[in-house]
Amino acid sequence: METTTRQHWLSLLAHSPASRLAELLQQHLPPAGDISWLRRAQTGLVMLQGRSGGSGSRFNLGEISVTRASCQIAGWLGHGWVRGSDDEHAELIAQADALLQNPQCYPPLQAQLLQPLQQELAARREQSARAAAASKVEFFTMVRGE
Amino acid sequence: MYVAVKGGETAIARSWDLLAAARRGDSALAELSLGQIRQQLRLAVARVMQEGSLYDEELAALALKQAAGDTVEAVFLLRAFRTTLPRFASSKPLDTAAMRVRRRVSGTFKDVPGGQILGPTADYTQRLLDFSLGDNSDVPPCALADSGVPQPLPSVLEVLAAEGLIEAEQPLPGDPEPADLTRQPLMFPADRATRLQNLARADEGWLLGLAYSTQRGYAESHPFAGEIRMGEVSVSVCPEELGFDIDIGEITLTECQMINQFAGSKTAPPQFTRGYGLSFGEAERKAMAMALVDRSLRAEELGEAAHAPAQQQEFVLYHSDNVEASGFVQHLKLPHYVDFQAELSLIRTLRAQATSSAVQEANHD
Amino acid sequence: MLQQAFDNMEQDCQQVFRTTLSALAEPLLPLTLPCLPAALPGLKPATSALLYTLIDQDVTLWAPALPAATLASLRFHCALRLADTPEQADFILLPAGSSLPPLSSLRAGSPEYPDRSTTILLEVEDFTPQQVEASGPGFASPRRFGATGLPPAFWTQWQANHARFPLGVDVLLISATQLAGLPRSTVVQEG
Repeated sequence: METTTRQHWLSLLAHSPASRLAELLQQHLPPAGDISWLRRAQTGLVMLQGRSGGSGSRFNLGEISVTRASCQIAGWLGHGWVRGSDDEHAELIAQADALLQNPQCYPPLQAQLLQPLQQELAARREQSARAAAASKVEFFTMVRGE
Repeated sequence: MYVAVKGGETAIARSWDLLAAARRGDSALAELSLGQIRQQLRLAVARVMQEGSLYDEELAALALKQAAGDTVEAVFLLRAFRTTLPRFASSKPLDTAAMRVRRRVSGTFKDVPGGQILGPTADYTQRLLDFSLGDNSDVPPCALADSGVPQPLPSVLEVLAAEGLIEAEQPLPGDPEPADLTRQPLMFPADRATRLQNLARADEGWLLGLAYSTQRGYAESHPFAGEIRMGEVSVSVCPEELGFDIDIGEITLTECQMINQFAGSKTAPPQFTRGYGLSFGEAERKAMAMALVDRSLRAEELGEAAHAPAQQQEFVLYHSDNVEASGFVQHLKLPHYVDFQAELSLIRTLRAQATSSAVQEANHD
Repeated sequence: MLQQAFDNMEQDCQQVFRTTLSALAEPLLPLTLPCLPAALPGLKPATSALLYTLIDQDVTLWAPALPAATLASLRFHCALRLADTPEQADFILLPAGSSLPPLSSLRAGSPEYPDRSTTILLEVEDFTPQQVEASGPGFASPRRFGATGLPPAFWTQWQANHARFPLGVDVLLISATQLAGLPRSTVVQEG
């Protein structure tokens, strides 16, 4: 499996609401006894870096809370990282990541988990971008005299 | 001399109860939920996150509720909480050029690539109290354009940069790891990375006042708001166990690029220089003030006279932190009984001396 | 292969940390750790517990060669960073049977910052009350102490380390399940 594919799903899962992820993942999860937790959800900090002027030298902007978890399912090691302090979200991502690496689980998950989440994320972003675009200023020139 | 004084435990316990009751107010009214605070007081939440230096809306909302709306107290609570958490990593530098922009305006050009996008701003309201909000507020639906804001949205400053009219903003050689004020104490002279971190968590009122002073003549400052943009930026980290970058979610940021006239020096031609502001959440005033103060603190580096308060690093950076400032100002409430007894007896002695010498002088006359 | 650490990382680490503080407050009084993880390959369970508790990305550790699985687990759970030499390290890990670097060569702090010194995690076989008489801060009265499996000439080196007080290194002596603290303030007489 390519790294970019895994990067893509980890990003998508982190950008999706935990409740929706839980709903779509539920039927694909193995019994709890088949999941071995290498690391239960743990909340900590990530220092956010910016760049002066947007493109210059790095500086530390401030921290963000992050929750991470890792588990093993059928020999596949899954990791979940998500911003915020939602334990369930991080553990759901870890489980999904473990399952998605398994070639047998991938096709149904791609269709029933990743695809709907991707569509919903795209729709949310489009809605927001179109609402913002509606507030774009249309300048028009006033012609004075003849 | 220190005198140990005990007592007051019961009084302190009673004060906690009074505080809790005062926070809750009239129990006949519904209690505020954290969700309500996050949604309906989002700018207060953002300010607590900025100055608390921790991006977490849920915790900031809780801090605001616990502090009964006292922003500085809420910032203190958030700062204290963050010390209990382990640090996992540093993020990849935030890519504000890739921001999913909801607002972008420029005060320098009317026509900018992608246009002026007003977004959710109070700039064009009349600042008349809206009494209809006293009861409930039905909001009209938002219009949708046929297509969204382009993404990425080109930066306004690129226009000037293409002509070489503005200083280039590039990483230092080797892109060094920046200093971190949460790990190393503030030392002078502070480099720009340290200053920007300090300003990003600085009290907004302090920054706003300093920024205003630069405009009123306490620094050679002739600023323009080159670009202000607000929107969502993805956060990327590279977890050790994965070995590649992943996005862990997105945050709202406000970025301000100030442009300042610069007459040139021995080494640099006349050109525009930059001041930079970056803030958590929707925080335009803070980002603009930060950018102005960032620029004024660059005076020495740019060979300008640095005689105004906003140009002096120690003055600006040592007094910007409202947790420190509030602690030092408010510690005067604590018992200084012995100190004060010493001062009191000194004043009495001096007065006695003054009186007796006055009597002597009178006798002499 | 990565190994599971504590069952409940946050709470178990806090308990082990509390025990470590007690061990340094009452030096050379062996304390049993309140919770133990599965031992990391090449290390005792108590040592593994202390590493999970004390190591994070802000400190560096020096150790003689450790099994790859141990390093991988420590990197995963604690963001372990290794120091190149013992002289640079914040913590030094000496598994049973390792040789002791000269204590005088290690970071001893400075008069302004005596805390900027090295702490040594030293594995021993077991504790026995029969080697030295110890006294100093944290002792109501002198107490006898000993440990089997200490590096040769350890107590001689210790006396030189104590002589540098308030500078010097601190040591945590670790058996399979117990811990004894040896801060630089402790006076030791052999015999």
